[in-house]
Amino acid sequence: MIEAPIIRSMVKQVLAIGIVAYLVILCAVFAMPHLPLANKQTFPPLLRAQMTIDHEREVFSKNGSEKKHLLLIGSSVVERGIDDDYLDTLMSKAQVPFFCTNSASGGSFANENIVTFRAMLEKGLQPNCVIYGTFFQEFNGNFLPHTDMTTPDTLRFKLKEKTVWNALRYGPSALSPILDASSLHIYLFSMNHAFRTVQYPNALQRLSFGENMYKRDSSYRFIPAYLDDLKAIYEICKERHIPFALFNTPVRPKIESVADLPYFHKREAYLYLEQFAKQENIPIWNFDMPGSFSDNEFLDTYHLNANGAHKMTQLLADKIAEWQKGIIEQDVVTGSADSIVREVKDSLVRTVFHF
Amino acid sequence: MIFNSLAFAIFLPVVLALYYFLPLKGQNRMLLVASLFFYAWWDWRFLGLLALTILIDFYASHAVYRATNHKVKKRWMLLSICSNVLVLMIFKYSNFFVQSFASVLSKFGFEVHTPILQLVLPIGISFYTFMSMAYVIDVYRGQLKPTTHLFDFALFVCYFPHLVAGPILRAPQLLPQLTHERRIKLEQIRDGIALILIGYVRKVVIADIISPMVAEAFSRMDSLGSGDLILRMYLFAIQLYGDFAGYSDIARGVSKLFGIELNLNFATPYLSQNITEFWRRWHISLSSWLRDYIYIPLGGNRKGKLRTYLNNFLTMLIGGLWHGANWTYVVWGGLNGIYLAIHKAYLDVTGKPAKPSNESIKWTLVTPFKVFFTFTLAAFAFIIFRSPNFPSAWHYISKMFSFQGGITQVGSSVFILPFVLLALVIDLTQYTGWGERFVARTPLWQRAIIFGTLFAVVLIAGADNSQPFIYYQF
Repeated sequence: MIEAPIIRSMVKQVLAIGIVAYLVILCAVFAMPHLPLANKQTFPPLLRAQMTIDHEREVFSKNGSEKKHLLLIGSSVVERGIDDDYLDTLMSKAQVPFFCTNSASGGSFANENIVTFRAMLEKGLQPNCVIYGTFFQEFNGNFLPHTDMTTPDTLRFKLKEKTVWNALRYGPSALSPILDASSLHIYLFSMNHAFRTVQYPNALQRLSFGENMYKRDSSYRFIPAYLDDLKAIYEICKERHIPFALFNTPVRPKIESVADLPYFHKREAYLYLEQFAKQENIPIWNFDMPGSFSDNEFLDTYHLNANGAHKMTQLLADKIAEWQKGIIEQDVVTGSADSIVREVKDSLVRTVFHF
Repeated sequence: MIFNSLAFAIFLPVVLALYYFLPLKGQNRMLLVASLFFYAWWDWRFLGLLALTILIDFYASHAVYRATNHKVKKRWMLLSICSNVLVLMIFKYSNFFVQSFASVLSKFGFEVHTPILQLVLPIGISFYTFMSMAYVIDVYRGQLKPTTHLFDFALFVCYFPHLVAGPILRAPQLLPQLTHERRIKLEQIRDGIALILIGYVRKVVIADIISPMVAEAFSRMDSLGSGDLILRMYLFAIQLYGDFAGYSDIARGVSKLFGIELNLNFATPYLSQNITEFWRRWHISLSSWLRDYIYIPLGGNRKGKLRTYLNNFLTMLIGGLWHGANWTYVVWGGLNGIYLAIHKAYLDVTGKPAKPSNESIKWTLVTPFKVFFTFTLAAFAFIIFRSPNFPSAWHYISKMFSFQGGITQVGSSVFILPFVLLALVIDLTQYTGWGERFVARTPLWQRAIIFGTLFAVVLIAGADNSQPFIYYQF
């Protein structure tokens, strides 16, 4: 039998350590701005969702509901390709009463965006307008970054309120991404809007953008389910009478070889979007036109750098302004198969010059 | 059940609560049942194998002790050794030896289709067979009187803190603590809690956070530069140490809560000044086991210089094979044997005495270089230890020495730095004895702030990342 003072001492020590530990966790959860109560897997999309909700609440509390919320969703091509602060400025200049939130996050395609979009709406988000930015790999089943979002997984995608109880219960999981290199970089970059504003990323920042050059990603397999998820996002907007628009982001004209990129499928992917837009009579703006963007406006194959983002934001602002006048603009695929081949050839010639 | 699991977080308080309210006899019975439960949580079917080992060695030890004829004594001892080695051969090495034999035959043009036994490797088999076997050998050598209580012997073999990944304990150290009245001291509780926490920091915060970077280096080394591979060679050494020393700390800390002291298994090995000192400080319980039951019976250093070098080499070769049924472990052991033999030869040529580890605390300006050199030797050998096969190890080494590419992943490398520093700080507190003094002298509230913060980091790092201990596979 052990003596009572020893048991008392043990309980005291364990309790003291436990209390300090949970106080540290509580302080960390509440001190870190926009930290979602997520885990490592759900961290990047839920971080963006949390930032979006916090931003909307902040604007509404300052301005009431006189300003309307324009929500941008998509993957990293939107996250890095649209500067929402600059878009705000352009909207003000054009006297369009919108404040914009870029809620796109790296690796989030329609299958993931449908879940985060639902989670944001559940939490009371009130977008007055939704614009979805895609790129041609989004529907490619052979594209590596597609996360497998099966239905049971999506249940985990809930935005939990930051209460003391939730912070105690989910705090360790929520903070765990901070002890993971890639998630920490995402957090730091998102907090500082660095995905779009860092003009010349240094080695550390370049790494934080992630590895985007998928060398063996040469095959293309269209997966209708991914398009269905995009349609589901639209359906939600339609039910809630939220205007919806689509835009297609550009791909770098300089490519290393045709085998590295399913270049010929750009047209195929866009056609599906175009059909959908025509059928629903929604705007679709294609920024992936030959000559629209030059090599030096890209960070890598798919992502624009700060200059490119500035340009695409401007193009998008012009389109939105037109749309607000009631014009449904739909960029249709032009050119024959020959022109596509020529475009590819041109890009390869440029490659020779650049390397 | 693993130490970094929710099951263990429930298991330990329950066992402690029961233990504290029972008399000695009841405590031992309860600990035995708890240990078997702990083992069965992984796979109850192997309890039979554990029981068989215990029964054979218990009766063999008594037969050895009772026998008056030396030949009979030896026969019983050999029976114990053979039974333990047989268990290891069947469950751990059968496929390895059969396949190696078949590949040798195929080199001579004989194609043999070897059957592959689909056997699960019983967890902790290498640890408990070595403990049990050493017990019988100690009785044979007259160094130990066997216990008359089967349950005490069974508890000695399967006492849960050391059961699956050591330390490999000797009966003279552990058995008296199990059979005599135990009086848990306040200091044991205090030190036990501190050790458990430091163990979790080493495992969950250091080893598990470093682990993905190391895994990446060994799975896609072609896409990394030489600098990355060199860095990750050191990182694996830190990971392995954090993982295994972390386990040992948790085991020792948990055991202290039961009032039972387990031996130190790691004494800041990466602060060693030479490879001989390193092996005195790394996995001490295995190193001393190999010394007492392999190196000395082989002749130790009593049969001339060349034989000493050979004995060093052979002992380490066997030590390598003990780790796993793979040629990489054998080569790793052999390489360390070569290191030791070269160091011994160097000492012989220069006439320098082999310093006992406690004297090496005197540091000079040259010491950091010696320490770094020893660390590099150990880390280099661990490349072979970590590689799935020898060609892969060779590929890693040749890519590393191609000196092309540098460090390509600066971000991850910078990120990992605080964790490496944390590992160093923990080791320095152990090396200088500051850690022990801090725990002993600091009031509870100050300890609670430091340990509470560390515990918070453990909870955060472990929340979404539970990896088994590396040495569980051995």
